[in-house]
Amino acid sequence: MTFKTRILKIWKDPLHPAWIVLAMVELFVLVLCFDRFVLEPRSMQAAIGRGNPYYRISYFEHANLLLGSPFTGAAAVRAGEGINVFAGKPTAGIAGGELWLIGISLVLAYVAGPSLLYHGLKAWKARKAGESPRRSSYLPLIASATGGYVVCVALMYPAFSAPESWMMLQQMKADSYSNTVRDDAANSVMVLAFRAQQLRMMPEAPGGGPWVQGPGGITIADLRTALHGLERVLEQPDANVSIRYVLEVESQDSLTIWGVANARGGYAISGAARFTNIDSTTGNVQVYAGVTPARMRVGVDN
Amino acid sequence: MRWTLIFAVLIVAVFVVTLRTTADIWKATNGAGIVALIFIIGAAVRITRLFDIRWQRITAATISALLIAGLTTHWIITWRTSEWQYEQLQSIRRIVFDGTAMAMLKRPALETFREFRGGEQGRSIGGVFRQLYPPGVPFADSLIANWGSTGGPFSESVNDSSVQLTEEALSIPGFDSTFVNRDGKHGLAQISIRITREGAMYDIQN
Repeated sequence: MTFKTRILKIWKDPLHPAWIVLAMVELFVLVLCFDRFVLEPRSMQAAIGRGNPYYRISYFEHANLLLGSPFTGAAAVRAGEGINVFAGKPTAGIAGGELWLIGISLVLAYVAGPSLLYHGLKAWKARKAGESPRRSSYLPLIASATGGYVVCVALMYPAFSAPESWMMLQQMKADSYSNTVRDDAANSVMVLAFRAQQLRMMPEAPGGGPWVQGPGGITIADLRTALHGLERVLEQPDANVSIRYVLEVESQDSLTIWGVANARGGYAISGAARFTNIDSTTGNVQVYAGVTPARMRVGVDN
Repeated sequence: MRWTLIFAVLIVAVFVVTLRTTADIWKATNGAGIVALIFIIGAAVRITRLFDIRWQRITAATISALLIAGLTTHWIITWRTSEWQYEQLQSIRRIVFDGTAMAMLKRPALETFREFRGGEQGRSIGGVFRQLYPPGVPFADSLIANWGSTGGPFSESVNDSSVQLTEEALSIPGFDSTFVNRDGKHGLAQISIRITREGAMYDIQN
C-alpha cells in the first residue's frame, strides 16, 4: 500500500485512530500557544525577561498549564515553609489556593485524564464495531483525545524529565555539600586562630609567646587542642570529611592558618578543578584566617 | 464512571484528612498520590484490555508501565529533593548560628583573657570579667539585633576560676533533640565559651 493510498484510507475512515492522535496534537498545540503567546507575555516573561538564562520553559511545561503537577506544588509549599523557618518567621500555614491547585491537579491529571481516555477508547471501539449509534461519532473522539492529551502531558512529562531531575539533584547535593564543608572549615580555622591569639599571651605554654616558625615555635599541633570536643561539629560534617591545616608565620605579629578539606571547592575561583591548594592537592575546599594579636580575617580561597 | 467518581472523592478525602491531621504537605500529597497510583494502574489495565490484537496489548502495557514508572520516579525524586532542601536550610542556618555566636563570644573572652594575663597579678578570672563587664552591661552585641529571632540573649556564669558565656538559639534545632537547653527548652542549638587560666575554649553543646 503506497503512502498516498494510506492517507486516502485514513481520510475516508472517520473512525481511524489517527484522528484521535491528530485531535490530541491539536489540543496540545492550542494549550501550548495559549500559554506561550497569550498568558506568558503578561506574567513571567514580562517580569524577568526571556533572555534570562534561568528562565527556561519546555513545550511540555507550556502544555501542562491546565494540569499542573501535584508534586511540584507540594515541593513549592515545602520550600516556602523551609524559607520561613530559615528566616526565623513563624510558619504561617499553607495558603488555601495552593492546596486547591494540588487537589485539582491530582484529580484532573491522574483520575479524569486516564478515565476519559479509557471511556473514549471504549466508546470509539463500540462505535467502530457498529454497537453504538452514528450520532455519537465525535464524542468518543473528543473524550479519547482529551484523555490522551492529559495522560501524555501529566505522565509523559515527568517520565521523560526523571533522568534530568535526578542529575539536577546530584548536582545540587554536590554544590551544597561543598558549601557546607567550606562553612565548617571556616569555623574551624576561626577557632584555631582564636587559640593562636591566646597562645601569644602565654609564653609558658607549648608554642606560646611571640609567633615564630621552626623549633620551639607555634605549630598546628599546639592549636589543635582548641578543637577538642568540636571535631564532630566543625571537622566532620560527615564521616568522610577531614580537614588538614597549614600554618605559616609571617612575622611575630602575623600568621596565616589554612584549612584544606577533602571536598571539591569552587565557590570563589572559577575553574576550581585547576586550583592548587596550599598542601599541593588540587581543587579542594580551602579557607584561611589571617591573624594578628588583636584581629583576624577569615576568607575563602576555593 | 462510578470508579472515577469514587477515586476522585477518595483522593481529595485522603489529601484533606492527612493534611489536617499531620499538617505535612508531603504526607498529604503522597497519601493522595498512592490512591491515584492505584487508579492509574487500574485504568492502564482496562485500557490495555480494550485492544484485541496481542502486539497492541503488549505495546499498550509496556508504554503504560514505562509512564507509570517514570511518573513515580520523578515524583519520588521531587519529594526527596524538596525534603533535602528543607533539611539543608536548617543545617546551613545552624552553621551560620555557630559561626556568628562564636565570633560574638570571642571578643569578650579575648579581652578578659588579655586583661587577666597582662594586668595586675593575683586577680581571679571571674573578677577580671566582672571588672570589664559589670552585671547589666552587655558583653556582646545581642544576636537578636543582628539576626532577627535567631538567637536569644546571652547568659553568663561567673566564678573565681572560670567564666562561662552561653548563647542559645531561639528556634534552630541542634544535633540532639533530647538535649535540655539552659532555659529548660529541648533540642535547640546552644554554644558556649569557657574562660579559665589556661585560655578560652568553645563548647558546641547542641
